[in-house]
Amino acid sequence: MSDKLLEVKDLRTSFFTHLGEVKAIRGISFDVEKGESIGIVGESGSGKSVTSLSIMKLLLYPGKIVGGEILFNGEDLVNKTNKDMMAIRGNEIAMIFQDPMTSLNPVYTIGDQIAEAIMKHQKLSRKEAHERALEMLKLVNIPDPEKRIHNFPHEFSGGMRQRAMIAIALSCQPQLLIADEPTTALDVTIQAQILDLMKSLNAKLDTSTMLITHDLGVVADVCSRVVVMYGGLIMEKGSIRDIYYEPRHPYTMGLLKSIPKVASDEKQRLIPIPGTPPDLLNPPTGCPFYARCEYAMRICNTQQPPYFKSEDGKHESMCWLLHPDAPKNEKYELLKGGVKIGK
Amino acid sequence: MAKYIVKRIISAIITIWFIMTLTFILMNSIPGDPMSMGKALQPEVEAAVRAKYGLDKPLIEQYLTYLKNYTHGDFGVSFQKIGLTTNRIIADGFPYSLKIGGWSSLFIIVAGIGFGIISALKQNKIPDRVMMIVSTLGATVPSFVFATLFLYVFNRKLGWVPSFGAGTWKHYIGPVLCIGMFSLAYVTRLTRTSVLDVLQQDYIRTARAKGLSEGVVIIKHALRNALIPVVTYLGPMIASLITGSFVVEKVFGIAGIGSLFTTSITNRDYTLIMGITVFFGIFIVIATLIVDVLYVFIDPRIKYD
Amino acid sequence: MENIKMSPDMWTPLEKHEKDAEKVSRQSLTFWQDAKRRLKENKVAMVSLVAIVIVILACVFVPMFYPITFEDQILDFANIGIMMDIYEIDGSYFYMNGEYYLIDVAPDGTLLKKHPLVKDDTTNKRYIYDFNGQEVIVDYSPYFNAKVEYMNLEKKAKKDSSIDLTEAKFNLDNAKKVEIKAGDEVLNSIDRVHNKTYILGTDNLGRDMFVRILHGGRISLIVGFVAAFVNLIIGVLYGGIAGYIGGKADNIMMRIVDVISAIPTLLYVILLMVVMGNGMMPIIIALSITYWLSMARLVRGQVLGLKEQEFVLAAQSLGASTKRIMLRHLVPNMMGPIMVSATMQIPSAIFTEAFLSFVGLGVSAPQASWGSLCNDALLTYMTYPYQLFLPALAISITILAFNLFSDGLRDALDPKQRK
Repeated sequence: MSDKLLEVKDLRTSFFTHLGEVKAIRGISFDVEKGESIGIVGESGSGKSVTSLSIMKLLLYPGKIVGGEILFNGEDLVNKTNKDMMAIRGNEIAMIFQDPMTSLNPVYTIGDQIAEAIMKHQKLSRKEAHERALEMLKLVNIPDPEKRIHNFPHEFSGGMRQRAMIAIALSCQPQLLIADEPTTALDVTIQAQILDLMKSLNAKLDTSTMLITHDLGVVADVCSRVVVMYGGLIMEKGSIRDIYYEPRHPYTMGLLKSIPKVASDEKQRLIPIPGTPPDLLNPPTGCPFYARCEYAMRICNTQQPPYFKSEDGKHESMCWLLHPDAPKNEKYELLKGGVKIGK
Repeated sequence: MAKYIVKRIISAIITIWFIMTLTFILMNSIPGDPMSMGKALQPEVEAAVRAKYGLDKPLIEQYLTYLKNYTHGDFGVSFQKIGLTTNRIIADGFPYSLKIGGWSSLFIIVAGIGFGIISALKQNKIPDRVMMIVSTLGATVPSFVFATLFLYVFNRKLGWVPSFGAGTWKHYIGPVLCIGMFSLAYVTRLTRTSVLDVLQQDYIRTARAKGLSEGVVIIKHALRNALIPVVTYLGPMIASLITGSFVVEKVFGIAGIGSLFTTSITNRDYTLIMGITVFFGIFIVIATLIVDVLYVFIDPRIKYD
Repeated sequence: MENIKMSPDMWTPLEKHEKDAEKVSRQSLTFWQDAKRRLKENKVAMVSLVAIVIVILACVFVPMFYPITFEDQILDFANIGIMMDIYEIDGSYFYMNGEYYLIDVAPDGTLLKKHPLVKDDTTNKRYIYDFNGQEVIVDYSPYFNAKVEYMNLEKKAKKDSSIDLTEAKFNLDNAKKVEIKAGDEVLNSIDRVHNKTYILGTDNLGRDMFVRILHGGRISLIVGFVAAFVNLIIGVLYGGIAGYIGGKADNIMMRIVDVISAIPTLLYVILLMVVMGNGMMPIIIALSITYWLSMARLVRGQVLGLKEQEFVLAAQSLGASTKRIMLRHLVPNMMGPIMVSATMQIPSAIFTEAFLSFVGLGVSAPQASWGSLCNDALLTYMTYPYQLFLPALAISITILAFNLFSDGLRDALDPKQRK
C-alpha cells in the first residue's frame, strides 16, 4: 500500500442546469499523501470548491460527478452510497467552510454542535461528548471554554466561530481535513492566527490537509505542494518551490504577479490578470486560459495542451509553450526563472 | 430574556391603551350620540338615561370612566336592547368562536407545516405542484365563498353535514375548514419557502459534512430554523382566524361572537360595536404577545435584539 | 499530443480579436430590460396579465354599450337562471320560475312576459293558468306537504336531541316539488335552453346579473387600485422621509408604525366604516389609512440600505440636492420591491372590500360590488346558487390573476428570491 491518502483520478463534475451542462471540473488528477498539506489555488469559478464538495460527495442538485475516481485509502468514494459516506464524513474526512458567520447553526450552542459529530462517530454519551467538545475548544484556544461552550454562534466573533468550526472538523481526528477558503472571510490578523492554529493542530493530530484558497500567500505559509486550477482543469502542480520559484504556466505567473509583497523593498505595481474566466457551459476546446494569455498561440485555442513534466516528474504544467517545437518567447523564459516573492 | 419579555408586555399594554383610546375617539366622532340613535324619548326620560350612563358629563370624564370600566372588565351596555351587555355577548358567543378558532389553528399548524415541509422536500415534483396549486387557490377564494361552496356541496348536494347551528362535531367541520383555508394556504407556502431557504444555508452543509443522516439534518438542523418565520406568522394568524370568523359564522349560522358582532354592526348598536372591538383588540394583542414570548425559546438570537 | 498534427503555423501568436472570437457574446441588459425579459418568459404571469387586462376592459367598457343597465329591474323576471327548462303547450312555450309562476318564452330562450294567472287556488296549493283555452295547473302541494312534515319533525327535534335533521332536510331539498298538468296529463320539459335575454340570469329583483357583475367589478377594481395607489403614496412618503432623515425622527416615526401595526387592522377598517357610513369612498379611505404600514416599512428599509451605498455618497459629495438624490438615485433603485408590494396590495384590497361588503358594510344598493353581490345572494344561494357563485368566481379569478402576476413580477424583479 502506498502512502497516498487521497488519489483523485480524472475527476469530472458537471452541473445540469436548465441552460445545459456546466462542466465545472473537466478531468483533474492529483493526490494527497499522508500527513501532507496540499494547496489548491485558483480564482472563483475555477472549480476548486466543486473539487472539495465532490470529494465529500456533498454536491447539491443539479451537480453530479460524471467521471473519474476518488480513491481514499484505496477505496473509491465515487461509487459509495450516501450511507457509506455518512460514516466517512466528519469522521475520516472533515471540512471547514469559507464563511464562519453562516456555517454554524444559529439555534444550537457551540458545545452541542461540536458534540454532535463526536456522538455520531465515536458513539460516546452526551456527557462524554460534551467533555470532548470542551477539550476541543481548549485545543483551538477559545478563551474561557467552560463558559463559551454554552454560547450560541451569534455570541462568538468571526475568528472564534472559525475556531469552533475547526474544533468541529477535528473533533473526530479525521485523516483528511478539507479547508475551503477558511480565512477569506476573516480579518488579516485573525487569518494568521487561524492558519497558525491549523498548522500546529495538523502536526499534532497528524492530519492531512487540503487547503483551498485563491491566495497564493496563504498556501506558501501552510502547504508543501500546490495545485493551480483554472477553468475546471489543473494548469500546473508541483512543490511550493516549483510553483513559486519556477512557475512554467503563464496563469501561475499571473497569479504570482498579483500578490502584494509586503516585505519587498522594491516598488512594484500589482499586475492583475486581464479578462474573466471562461464560460464553462461552452468551455473552450483548447487551453481554457488562452483568451487571457499574453503568449497565446494558434494551437492554444484548438488543442488542449498535455502535461509537460519537469525532469523529476513532480512539476507538471499544462502549456504549449513547454513543447519542444514551441518558439522561444524571451519574456516567458525570463519569468520562468521565478518571480520574487516576499517570503 | 426577562428583559425582552417585560419589554413586550409593556408594549402590549401600550397597544391596548392605544386601541381603547382610538376606539373611543372614533365612536365619539359619529355625529350624534348613542341616545339619538334609538327612538325619540321624552326629554326628562332622556335626561335621566343620560345621567344614568354618564352621557351628561364632559367627554374627558366619559373617557376616564370608560377606561376605568373597561379595565375592570365591564365592556358596556347596549343602548338598543335593554339588558343586553357586551359581556353577555362575549359570554354567549365567544366559546363558539374560540372552539372554531382553536381547532382551526391546530389544523393549520399541523397540516400547513406538514404540507409545507413535504412540498419543499419534493420540490417541483408532483406532490409539490399539487400542494402549490391548492394553496394558491386557498389564498384566492374568499372564505365566504369557500363556506357557501362547502355547504352547497356537502349539505345540499351530498347531505353529509348539517347546514346550520353548532350542535354536533359535524357542525364544526365546515367552519373550521373554511376559516382556516386562507391561513392554511399561507402557512403552507411560508413553510415551503422557509424550508427551501434554510436548506440552502451553509450550516446545513456543515451538518451534512459532519456525517449526519439526511433525516437528522432536516429534522434537527433545517426545521428548527425554518419554523422561526412560521411562528412569527402565528400571532397575526390568530387575528385573521378570529376576524375571518365574522363571515364564516354568518354563513354557517353559528351564534359566535363574530356573527353577533356583525349583527350589532347591521343594527348600528354603537356601544356594543365599541365593546366587542376593544375585546377583540385585547384578545389579539394578547395572542400576539404569547406567540412573541414563545419565540424566545425557538430563536436564541432574539434575546440580544 | 498523440495524434495532433503539428504544423508550424500553429505556433504563431494569436491576435487580440482571435482571442475574443470564442467569447460567448452575451448581450448585456439593464436591470429593467432583464426583468422585462424574465417576466415575458413567465407564462403564468403573462396569462394572468392578459386575464387582468380583459377583466379591466370588460368592466370598464361593456356596461357602457350593454343595452341593459345595472339598475334596470323587471320584477316579473326575477331569479331566472342561465339555463331554463321550457315546456310547450299548443305551440306556446313557457318557463316556470322558482316561485312556480309561468313565464312565456320564445323557443330560443328569449323571455317574453309573465303569463297571466287565472286563479291562485290556495286551498289545493296550485296555480291555474289558461293557454288558448287549455287549462294548465301548477300543483305545488308535494313540496308544501313535505315542508309541513319537515317542520313537524323539526319541532320534535327541538325536544328530542337524538333526532338528526340532516337527512330529513336533505330529502326535503331534493324532493320533487311541483307538477305541471295540462288537463290530466303531466307536462314534462321539452328542452333546456340558454337564457337569451339575460345571459347570466337575473337576481332577486330581476336585474341582469351579467351587467351587475361587470358593474360590481368596476367598484371592486376601483377600490383595489385606488387603495393600493394611496397606500403607495403614503407609504413611500412616510417610509422615505423616515429612512432619509434617519436618527431620532426615524426612530419616532417607526415607533408610531409599530404601535399602529400592533392593532388588528380589519377591526379598525370595520370601525371606520361604521363611523363613515357605507359606500365606496369610505371603503377606500378606510383601506388607505390602515394598509400603508407595510409599504412604509419596506421603503424605509430600502432607503436606509441604499443611503449607505457608494453611489449615493458619491452624489452627495458632488453636491447633488436632496431632491435630486431622492428622485434620481433612491427612487429608481427602490422601484422593484415597491412595485411588487403595490401589486400585491391590489388583490388584498379587493379581498377586504369583498369581505366588508359581505358583512354588510360595503356599497349600498342599487350600487353593487362583487362582495355585495355575494351578500345579496347569500339568503337564497341554496335555491339560486348562480347568483352567489358567479360574482364569487369573478372575485376569485381576479384575485388569482393578480396574485400570480405579482408572484411573477417578484420573480422577475428579484431573481435572488426565486425558488
